[in-house]
Amino acid sequence: MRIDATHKGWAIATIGILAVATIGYLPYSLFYPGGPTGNTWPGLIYGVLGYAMMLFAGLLGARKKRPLWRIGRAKVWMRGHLWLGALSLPMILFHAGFAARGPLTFVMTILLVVVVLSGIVGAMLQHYLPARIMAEVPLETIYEQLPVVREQLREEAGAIVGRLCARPEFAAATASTYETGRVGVLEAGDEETVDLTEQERANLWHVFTTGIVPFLREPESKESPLANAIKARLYFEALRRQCPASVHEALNDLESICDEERQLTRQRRMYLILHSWLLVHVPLAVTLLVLGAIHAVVAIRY
Amino acid sequence: MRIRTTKTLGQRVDRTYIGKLFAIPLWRRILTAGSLAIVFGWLGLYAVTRNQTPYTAGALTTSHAFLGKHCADCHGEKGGIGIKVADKQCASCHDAPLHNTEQVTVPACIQCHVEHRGEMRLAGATDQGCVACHSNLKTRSGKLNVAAGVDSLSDHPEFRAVAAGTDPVGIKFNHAKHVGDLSQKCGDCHTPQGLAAAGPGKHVLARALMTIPTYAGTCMPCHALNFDDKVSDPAPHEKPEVIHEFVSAALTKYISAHPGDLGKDGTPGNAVAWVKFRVDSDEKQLWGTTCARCHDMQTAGPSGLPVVPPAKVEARWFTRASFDHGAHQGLTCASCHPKAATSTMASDMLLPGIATCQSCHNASRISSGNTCSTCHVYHDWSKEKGVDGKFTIDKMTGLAGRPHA
Repeated sequence: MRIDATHKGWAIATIGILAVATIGYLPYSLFYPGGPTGNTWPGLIYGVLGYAMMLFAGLLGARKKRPLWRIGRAKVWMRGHLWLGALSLPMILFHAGFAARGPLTFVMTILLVVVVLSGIVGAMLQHYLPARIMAEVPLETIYEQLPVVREQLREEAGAIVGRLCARPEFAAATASTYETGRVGVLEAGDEETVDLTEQERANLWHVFTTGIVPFLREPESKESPLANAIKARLYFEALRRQCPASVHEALNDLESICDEERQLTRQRRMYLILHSWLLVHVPLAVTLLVLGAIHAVVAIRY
Repeated sequence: MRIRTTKTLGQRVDRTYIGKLFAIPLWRRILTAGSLAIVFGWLGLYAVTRNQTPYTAGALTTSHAFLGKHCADCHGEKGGIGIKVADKQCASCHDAPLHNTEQVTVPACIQCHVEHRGEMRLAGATDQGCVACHSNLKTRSGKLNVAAGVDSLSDHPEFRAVAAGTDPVGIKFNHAKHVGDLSQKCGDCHTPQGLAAAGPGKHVLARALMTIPTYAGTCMPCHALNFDDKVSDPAPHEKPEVIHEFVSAALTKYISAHPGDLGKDGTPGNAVAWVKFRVDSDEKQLWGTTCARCHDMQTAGPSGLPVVPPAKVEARWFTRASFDHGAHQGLTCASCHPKAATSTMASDMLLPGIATCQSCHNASRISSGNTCSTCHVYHDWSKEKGVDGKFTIDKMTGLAGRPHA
């Protein structure tokens, strides 16, 4: 989610609430007998507000699991999660009087700080990375489908080379792949076997099995020259010089497949950066909400 | 040539992927479960041993540390929003007398004694609690015998004794002669002794007060009450009646041992008359000069002996506050008592005024030690009665069930 001018209302509301809370906190902290603590009435109000904000932010996860429920637009929930979640930190600090003296409250404070900071990091990533992915990975696919797509790319490459090298077991995959409609591979008429000498076929097969196949099997390995865009271009230019013009189109397709593999590698890495912060944010946020509920019950009890 | 259309790209997706759990969501769930397991394990371990330490709002003071595992010991069994530790819970272990019977409102214990703040001094209450009443003091009867508008140390009124201007000590003493001409040091007569000098009363710091200089302990080495060259023993520092008996007995004993002195130098030749003659002469010297050097000898009473008003040497000037001479031993005496070196009369007020205290104890010069509780205590400890303890060692150390009020 990009944080742009459309967030203006939320930003103003958040700053306004923070300003009011801060103005209320100053006299409270200076003049309240015994100082600010969580068990005073002002402290309780800050605590309830802070926990309510945390709870709202936490409910985003539940909201995502029920996308069809008519309980507000997803955009509103997301923005509320972002701004109210951030606002919960100062509210809880006001609640606790900027101290965490007990073991449970200390743990909760650390969790809250980590959750909010990881959330801010996540918001920044979500702001910048999607645009970069769109620019750098035009052939982006669904992340979870990467293994499936990569398998199809390997099949497609095998079909192209199988046809060129008169290897029916590989060429058969062409028809199979084409018929399923999963991949757009060949234009009509391309099914015919290309006229190459035995030596050229042997050479092309050697290049395919020792250069292209290893890269397609391990596209994220940096050892292959095909993992690098410039080296890959030089690699295929050299290959085209060694082959007759009649197979250049097929070689272009192979180069295109390798380029798509590199894009998918880039997508995977960006995706991991884009989502790995959630491995910190979500577990700790859930734990924080549970501990917050326990803390509230015990605090009210005593 | 490869054909790349949105449709063909979309068609290559395995539509059954929805509903499958992939790496990041899977790990998110695993880590969430692990994180919850850790905190529940942590809290569970304490719960098994019935130890509520994790839920404490902060470390207790050392003196209350034994209560840290069981919230209900102080907080009671019945909780609720806004429910605080009741005074009766504190009173089960502490007898803390009321501040003043005239006070309009009585704050709860926890208003001043804030717990769960670690090792800070529990009784070190902030000024807020004091100022809440003393900035605009009201009393039940409407009468005030202390200042009504004190907001801070800078508003503190002058000490009552200093404002009176004179020391009603009732004796004569020349500080200037002793300190100046005789080069005596303050410590020759005044030493911090604390409780012994304070007399009845509690909660006085160990070296808070100066000893009351006594004749026997301070003056006698230089000012022995010698009264007759025939008697080597000085007269006791007692009432005139006792001194009269002592002098008479000493001279009677002397003349019995030295009958040859009868009639010498114009004295009577009869022992009884000799004793009376010498007593009259010696007492004239005693009452008129020796005793009068320090005491205001008043007209003779029915017995014919003078009356000596009692000295009123104050051991503790600040009856509503504490002062610790020991804590101020780094200062020269003259820093706070500059008039002592030039004072010629004991009635001179040598107690320093509040301005002297404020020269150090103010927010700009000393970051601490400028609160009300630096000098004052809230409770009137003279009314302390004590309490009957409720804990056994086993209960206090958590080895057995605990009492609840």
